[in-house]
Amino acid sequence: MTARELFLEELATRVQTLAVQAPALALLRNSAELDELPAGKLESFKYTPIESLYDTALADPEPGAMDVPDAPLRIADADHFVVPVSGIDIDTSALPAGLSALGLAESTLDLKELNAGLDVVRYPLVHVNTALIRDGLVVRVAAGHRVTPTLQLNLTSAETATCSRVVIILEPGSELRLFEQHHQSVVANRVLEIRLGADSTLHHTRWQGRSDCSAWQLTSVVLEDNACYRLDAFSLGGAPHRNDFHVRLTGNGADFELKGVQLTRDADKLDQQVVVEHVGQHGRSRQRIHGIASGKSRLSFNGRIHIHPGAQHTDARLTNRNLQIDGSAQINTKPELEIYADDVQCAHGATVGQIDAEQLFYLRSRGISDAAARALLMQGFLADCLPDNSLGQQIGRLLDAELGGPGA
Amino acid sequence: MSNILTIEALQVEVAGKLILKGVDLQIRGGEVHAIMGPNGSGKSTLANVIAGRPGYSVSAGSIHFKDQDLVELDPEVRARLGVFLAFQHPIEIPGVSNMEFLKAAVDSHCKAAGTEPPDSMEFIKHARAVAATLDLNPDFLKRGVNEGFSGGEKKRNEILQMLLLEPTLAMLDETDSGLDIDAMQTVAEGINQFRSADTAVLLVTHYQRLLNYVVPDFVHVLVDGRIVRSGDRSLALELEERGYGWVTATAA
Ligand SMILES: Nc1ncnc2c1ncn2[C@@H]1O[C@H](COP(=O)(O)OP(=O)(O)OP(=O)(O)O)[C@@H](O)[C@H]1O
Ligand SMILES: [Mg+2]
Repeated sequence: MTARELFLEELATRVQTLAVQAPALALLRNSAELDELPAGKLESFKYTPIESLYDTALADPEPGAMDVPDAPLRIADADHFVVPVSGIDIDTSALPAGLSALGLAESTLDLKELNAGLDVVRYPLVHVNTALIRDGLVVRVAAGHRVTPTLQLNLTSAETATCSRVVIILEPGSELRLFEQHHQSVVANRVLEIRLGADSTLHHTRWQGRSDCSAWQLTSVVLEDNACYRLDAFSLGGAPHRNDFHVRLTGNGADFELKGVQLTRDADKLDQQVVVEHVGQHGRSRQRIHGIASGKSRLSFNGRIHIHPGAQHTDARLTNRNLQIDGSAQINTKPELEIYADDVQCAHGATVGQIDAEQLFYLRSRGISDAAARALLMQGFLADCLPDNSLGQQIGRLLDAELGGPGA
Repeated sequence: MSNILTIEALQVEVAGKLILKGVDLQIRGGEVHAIMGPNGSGKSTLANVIAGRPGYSVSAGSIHFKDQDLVELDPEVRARLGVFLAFQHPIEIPGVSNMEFLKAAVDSHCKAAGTEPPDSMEFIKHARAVAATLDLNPDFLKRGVNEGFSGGEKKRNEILQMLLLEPTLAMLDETDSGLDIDAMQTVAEGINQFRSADTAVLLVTHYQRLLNYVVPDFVHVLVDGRIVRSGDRSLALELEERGYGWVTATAA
């Protein structure tokens, strides 16, 4: 038996167990198209072979594994609220006006259409997520509502076990701040779907700390007319981590801005893929992702900009800069452009470099040790990618500690 | 007064090429030495090898700072001992704020000296005050290190670092180049403020004008990796009048 066959067999058993444990979504689970899981290689999974998923167990975590340490990042209590990702036991009285949060089974979503907006061909792991759904969360912000406190999602093993499905819907003219924090001690396969109605705005900060358990996640976002999506994404590696961001600007005048940091060290593996599709006209996208890889780690980034026919007056930019800290770290970066409209502006660039010897000597000539100087230079390299707010400062400190700076 | 810097028969190779071909130089406490010489003669090489720039290898001779052999020491160790180099071309480091950089530098000196690093607020106040004496707007402290600074601003930022780090030996590599007349006076005042019986200055310059403000005790002429002539201040004036051809001709 191949690893894939064994994996499918294990999945089938798990689906049966879940049918008893969580019957509400049995139909949805059974609809998972597991046949679509590829047997061979997939180009989009070049650096994180999808076969490696078949070797990882998907069992529910042991009770001990559910104990996760305190989340490293905090937003002042008054400024945020937490909704359980499992969609279970939501305290509706604690929700701000205009925002509703329901479990997947209780929501009004048409579950037969749940995967309709997702690119399951590029990211077939959606099928695994579907097969193992225990419950899920649907958050909706009503039209015209601006929610001030930040919605915090804790993607911890205690919250979500192995799989989770979150759908966030911003109705026209609404606004939300979202802070997604990962902290896991089990293998995870997650899908986060975001639907941004016309003139809505989502500020999304994502922090994924280091973890010894592999994690796979698709974040799929659709922007309608004049919707605005700001994503600040921080990913530290660990056991193979794979993050797919699939952002479709379907409406006219939609705006997407991504600032990202990706860090790997030791034997970490991190593979991030961002696909931006410009479908509507006058769309704008800005992406800046800076990465640092040290040790024997492997850092992969793929940034694809796809400008569809008719997406005139698109203005799309992507910058990916990487620092290789020692010769044995591997960095793969591949920007891809596909342009089918003629009146567009599009620029992309990807670089892999080393710490600048002149800068290093300058700092050392002032008495700063070699290690501290390197840490300062790495922090400086990431400075452009940090949000200018209190969360950004906290993230900055965590990254400094990760880089071994004076703050460490 | 004992020697602060003692260089004997120094030969230095850069990228496999012999650049300094036997340099002797002694600088005592309280002295200012000026080094002049044509482009490419090795002036910056001399200053950089004393500061410990990687890739500049000493193939013969010695460099002592007080009694300490510098040759094997890392640049940061030399800096903490009291060696300072104001770069001919100060380096830009976007993303690292000037203040953060200055504080890290001063803290590293304190740590080496076993003293308590200054409190952040006090340090900021002090740095602003020193910047003001150099006509450097305090906003420069918030910006990235030398990021987008004009040539003159970069040079003033070098002097700011010198005044904050309080070295024993300050080497200023063409700090006067690119300065307007007022800035040259301001920088010269900074250098004069630094002069004392316990400190020493090595000035690399192409122009005798700076030497009107910072009067040197000795002037050396470096040509093709060798000091071909040494004298007092009048040598600089003579050079300005007659050019380097005159020294090389008389030295030969
Ligand atoms: N990293 C290097 N690789 C190769 N050659 C070098 C390097 N650094 C210096 N040199 C060479 O060494 C010689 C001396 O250079 P140096 O910078 O010391 O001259 P300088 O006297 O300071 O000149 P200037 O007045 O133009 O500043 C030059 O020929 C220069 O090209
Ligand atoms: Mg020079």
